[in-house]
Amino acid sequence: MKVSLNWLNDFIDLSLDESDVDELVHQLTMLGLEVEQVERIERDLKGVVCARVDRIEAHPKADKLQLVSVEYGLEEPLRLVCGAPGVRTGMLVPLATLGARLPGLDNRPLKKARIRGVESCGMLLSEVELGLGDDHSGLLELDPGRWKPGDSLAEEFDCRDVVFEFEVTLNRGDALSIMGIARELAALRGVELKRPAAIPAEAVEGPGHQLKISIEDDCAEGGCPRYAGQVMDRVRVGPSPRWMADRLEAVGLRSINNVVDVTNYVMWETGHPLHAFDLRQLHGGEIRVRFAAEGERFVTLDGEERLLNAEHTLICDAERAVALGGIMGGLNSGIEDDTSEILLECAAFDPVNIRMGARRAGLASDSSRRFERGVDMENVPEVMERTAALMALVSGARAAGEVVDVQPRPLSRPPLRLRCARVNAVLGLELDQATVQRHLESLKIGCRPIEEGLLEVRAPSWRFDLEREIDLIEEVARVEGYEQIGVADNARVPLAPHLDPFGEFRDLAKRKVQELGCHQVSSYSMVDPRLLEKIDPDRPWLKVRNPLSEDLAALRNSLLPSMIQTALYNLNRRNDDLRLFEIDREFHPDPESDTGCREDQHLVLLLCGRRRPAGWDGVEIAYNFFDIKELSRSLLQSLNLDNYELLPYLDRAYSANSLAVQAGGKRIGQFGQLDPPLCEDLGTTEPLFVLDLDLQAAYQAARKDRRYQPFSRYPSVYRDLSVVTGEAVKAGELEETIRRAGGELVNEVRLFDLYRGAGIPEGCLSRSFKVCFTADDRSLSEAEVEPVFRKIIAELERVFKARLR
Amino acid sequence: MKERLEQIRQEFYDSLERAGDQEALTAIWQRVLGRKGGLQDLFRQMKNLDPAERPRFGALINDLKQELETSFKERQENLRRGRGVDELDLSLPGVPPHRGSLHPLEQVRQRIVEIFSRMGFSVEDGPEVETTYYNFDALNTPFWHPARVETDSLYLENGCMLRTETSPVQIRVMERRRPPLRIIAPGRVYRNDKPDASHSPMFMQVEGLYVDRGVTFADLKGTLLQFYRRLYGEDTQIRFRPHYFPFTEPSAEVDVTCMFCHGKGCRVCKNGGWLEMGGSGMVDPNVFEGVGVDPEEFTGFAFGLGIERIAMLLFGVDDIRLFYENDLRFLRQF
Repeated sequence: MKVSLNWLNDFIDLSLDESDVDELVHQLTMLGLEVEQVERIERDLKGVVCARVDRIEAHPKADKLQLVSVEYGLEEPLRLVCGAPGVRTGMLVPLATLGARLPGLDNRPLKKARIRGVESCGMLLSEVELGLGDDHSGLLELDPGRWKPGDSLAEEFDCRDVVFEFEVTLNRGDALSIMGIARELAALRGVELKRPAAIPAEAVEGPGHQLKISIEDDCAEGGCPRYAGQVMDRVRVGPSPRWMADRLEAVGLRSINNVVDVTNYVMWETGHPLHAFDLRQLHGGEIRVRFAAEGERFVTLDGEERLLNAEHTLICDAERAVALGGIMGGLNSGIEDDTSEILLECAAFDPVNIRMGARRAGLASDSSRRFERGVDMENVPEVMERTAALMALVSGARAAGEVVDVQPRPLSRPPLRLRCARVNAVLGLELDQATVQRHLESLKIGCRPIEEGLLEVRAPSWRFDLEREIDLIEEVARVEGYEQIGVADNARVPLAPHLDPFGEFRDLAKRKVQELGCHQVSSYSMVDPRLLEKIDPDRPWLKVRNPLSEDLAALRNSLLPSMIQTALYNLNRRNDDLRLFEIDREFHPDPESDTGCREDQHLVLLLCGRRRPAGWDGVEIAYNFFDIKELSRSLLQSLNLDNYELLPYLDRAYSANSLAVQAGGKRIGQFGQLDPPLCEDLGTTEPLFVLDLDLQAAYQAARKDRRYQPFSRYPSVYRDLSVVTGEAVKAGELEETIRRAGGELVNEVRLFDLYRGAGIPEGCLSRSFKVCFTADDRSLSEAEVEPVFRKIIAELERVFKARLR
Repeated sequence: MKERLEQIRQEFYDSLERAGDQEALTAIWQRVLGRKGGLQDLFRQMKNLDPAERPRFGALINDLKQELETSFKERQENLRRGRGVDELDLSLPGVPPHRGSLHPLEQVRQRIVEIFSRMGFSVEDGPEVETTYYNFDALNTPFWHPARVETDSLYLENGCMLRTETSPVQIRVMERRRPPLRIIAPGRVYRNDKPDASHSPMFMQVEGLYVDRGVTFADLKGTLLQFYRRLYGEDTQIRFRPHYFPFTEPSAEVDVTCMFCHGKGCRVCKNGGWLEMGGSGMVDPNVFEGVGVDPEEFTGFAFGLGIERIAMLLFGVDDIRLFYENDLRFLRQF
C-alpha cells in the first residue's frame, strides 16, 4: 500500500514535508504500519517553457533531422535541431532551454549541442523527457487555450512528493487508504482528521434518472449487504488533470481516463472500491444483485472468461450480469471514450465471500484486496458524495437524480467491555482508566465508563478487527507504545525442566559421529519419488499433493536417497572424499496416527572415496567395508550400545557385503556397501559405504548407565600364533575359538596378518594372531601361559584342522 | 693480534654452522680449542708481545675461549638431540586427520537450546506432518486465511500437511500438560516457496511458549532481550513492533539492533539499524480456550524465530540454499 505525503496532507493538518519523513517512518512503523520503502518524487521543470513552432527547414546533412525555429517569449526566436516526427508550424510544444534539468534525462542540466554540424541551443520535448509518461511517439502538444509561448511549465507540472510503501497486516483493512493512514497518524499526533474541500456536484433539475436497485435476500446476507448507485450525465471522458494523474502514478496506479481515475482515486483515498458503468449498457435501467449460478460464466473487464460458482456475487441489469461484485467489472459495461452517462456503484461486499470468490476465480484486484479485509460500510454515502464531486470536477458531470442506497439489514455490532485491570495484567503496565480511555478515543473508539475499572466500548465502523476485549488491549498497547512496556528481569524461579532423554541421546549421536570425523549434512525432507522407487519400490511413502516440483513430490521414507543425492552432488563437484552423516526424520504412512504418518529419527552415515588421499609418501587408502564396520562399531560403543549381534544383511539397496545390527531381538540398523548396479544406475561407479541406524531403537537398546571397566595392573604376556586353515573358515570363528579355549586369561586377540600364496597349500589361508594374556591379580609367567597357549593350538587343530606355521 | 682473534672467531662459527655430525665437531675442537688449536697458538705467541700488553691480551683470549666453548657445547648438545631422526623436507604437506563438523544450523540450534535451557525452558518436539487442526484451527487461524491456500502451504495426499510453523507444538504440549509451562520447540517447517537466495521450501524455526499465572508482555520483552543479548552480545537492544498473527494478541515483530553496525546503519540492515528477527505476542485467548486452559486464570507469551536467519547473520551466509546443498566445501568450514 503506497501513500503519498502530499495526499496525506489533504486529510491531516500537519503540513508534513520531507523533513518529517524519518520521524513518520519510525512512528508509523512502531504503530504497526511497517514502512517498507520510501521513495522521493521530484520533477523540477525550471527552464522548460512553452514554445511555438514557426519555421521548419531540412537539416543540411541528415534526412531524419529538421531545423526548427521556435518563438518562446523572447525577441529572438531560437533555432534548434529536432528529430521528432509530426512537427508542424504553429503547434505549441515544451522547450527545454539550456541548463534545464529533465527528469527523463537523469536531471542533468541541458547543454549546448552540435548535431551533425548544426548547433542546437535547446530541446523540444515529449512526455518522456518531462517524466510525465511513456509516450515517445512525438512531441507533447500543449493546448493553445491554456498555453502561450514563454509560459513556464513548472507551475503546472512541477511535482515534489514522498511516497511511503506500507506493509498492512491482514487484520487492518482500515489502513488500506490514505484516510486510514491519516487516521492512525491523527491518533498518534493528537490532531483531528480533516476532509478535503470539494464542491458538491451540480445536480440536474427535477427528478433525474429513475434508478431501481435490489439485492436478493440470500445475497444480502452473505454477499452484498449494501449497494448504492448514483447516475451522472454530461460526462466527458478524457485525460485526467495532471495533479490527479500524478498522485495515482505516485502510488503505483496507471492513469486511464478521468472517469476510471476518479473511481481509483477515491478508492485509494477512502479505502472504498467503486465502479463506474456506462449507463447505455445497463438494460432496463435497473441493478439486481444476486449470487451466481453454479457453473455460470462471465467475461470480466480484462477479457477473460471466468467460471463462477454459487458463492460469487453478480451485479446484473434487468437482463444480464454486468459485474463480478467486488472483484471486477464486466467487459460488456465498461467506460468507453464516448460514454456520456454513467452509473457510479458504491457497495459493500462480504469479506469472506470476496476472499474465497477472488481465490476461486484466480483473480485478485485492488478492489477485492480491500473488500476481503472489509470496508467501512457506514461510509457509503460520504464516499459516494466525494466521488460525485470529483467526477463533476474532472469530467464536468452532473448528478442525474438522487443516490439510491439499498441496505436490507442495518449493521449492528454489540458493544464490548474492557476491564482496565485486564489491560495491565496482559501488558505488564500500570495504566489508569483515564489513560486507557484516552488511548482508545484517540482511535475514535467510543468509550463509556460503566463502573470503576470497566468501560463499555464501541468500535468504529471501519475497525472490523475489534471484536473482543483482547483486541482492545492490543489497541491500548499500540497507542501507549510497545516501547513503554517495561522489560521484566525474568526473576521468576525457573520451572523444573521437562526432560527430553531421547533428544539428548540424538544430540549425543550427532556429537559422536562428528568426533569420528564426519560432516553433518541437512537435506530436504521432500525427495524425488522416482528415486524412492528405485531404491526400494516396496516401501510405501507419502505424496505431496501440491509439490513445488515433481522432484520434490515425495516425503522421504529413508534418509538414504537424500544421502546418495548429496554424495552425487559432491562427487560432481570434485569433492571426492566424503565422510557425511545426517540425523533427521523418515516419514512412513501410518493410518494409526492422527497425522497419517509415523516419523522415525534415523542416522545415516556415508563413506566414499579415500580414507587417505594419495600423498607424497605414495600412500593412498580407499574406503572399504572394514572402514564402515569399524566406524559403526566405534559409534555404537560411544552410544553405550554393546549388546548387539551382527547378522548377514541384504536388501535392494545394500550389497551382500553388508551386516545388520541386531539388538534386543530387533534390527536397529545395517551397514555395508551399497549395491553397485544400483549406484551405477543412480550415477556413480564409486563404491558407497553406508550405515543406517534407527535412533529410537538404538536409544531403547542402549544401556542407560555407563560403568567403568577395571583393568589389570599387572604385566601381560604376548604370544603370536600363525594358523593355516581352509579358506572357508572365518577369522571371527578362529578368534572366538582362541578366546574360548584360552579362557579368562585371554585379554585381547588381534589379527595382524593374512596370507595366501607360496608355502601355503592351495585353498588354504594363513592367519596370524597376537594373543595377549593377562591376569587381574598377578604377573603371569611364561610357564603359566604355556599350557593355555598349547590348549588354544590343540583346540584350533581339532575344530578347524588347522596347523601351525 | 686482535685481527687474528676476530679471524679465529669467524672461522669457528662458519665451520660450526656447517658441522652436521660429531666427527666434524671433533675436528673443529681440535682446530680451534684443542691443545694444538688456534687459541693455544695465540697463548703461545703472547710471549712475543710487550709485557705490559700481555695481561690485556690474555684476558681477551680467555674471554673468546669461554665464548667459543659455550657455543660449541650448545651445538654439540643440539646435534646430540637430533640424533636418530631422518632429515625431512619440513615444507612437505602434513597428513590431514579426519575432522568432522556439525551442520551450521545444528550448531545454531544447539546454541539457542542452550540459552533457553538456562532460562528454564524445556525442549519439546512435535510431528512435521500435521493435521490442519493443529497447524491452523487450534491456532485461531480463520478458514479464509491466505496461509491455508496451496500456493502457501504444502499438503499431502492423505489430507494432512507439512507444518508451516513450529507453533502446533504449543497445542500438542498444552493438550498433554497443564500450565505452568515453559517450552521451546526447534524443528523443521515447510512452505510452498521456490528456493532462491532468501527463500527455502524447508527451513528451521524455534517456537517458544511460556504460560503461567501473571505472565505479561513485559515478561516476553525481558525473555527475548536476555536471549538476544546472550546470542549477539550484551549491548544488543531489541524493539517490538505491533503486528498481526492469528495465534497471538497483542502481536509483535521483534527487531534487534544490527550486530554489524551496532544500530548505526549499514548495508546489512539497509541503513535502518534494526534487523527483523521473528514474531511474538501474548497467547490469544481463543488458543487457550481450544486446549481447555482458562485465559482468565493463565496468560502466556509465544514467539517464533528462524534458525537460518540467525545462522546467516552469525556466519555471514548470504544465500539460504547453501544450508541445504550440502557442498563439502561449505560444510567443512564449520
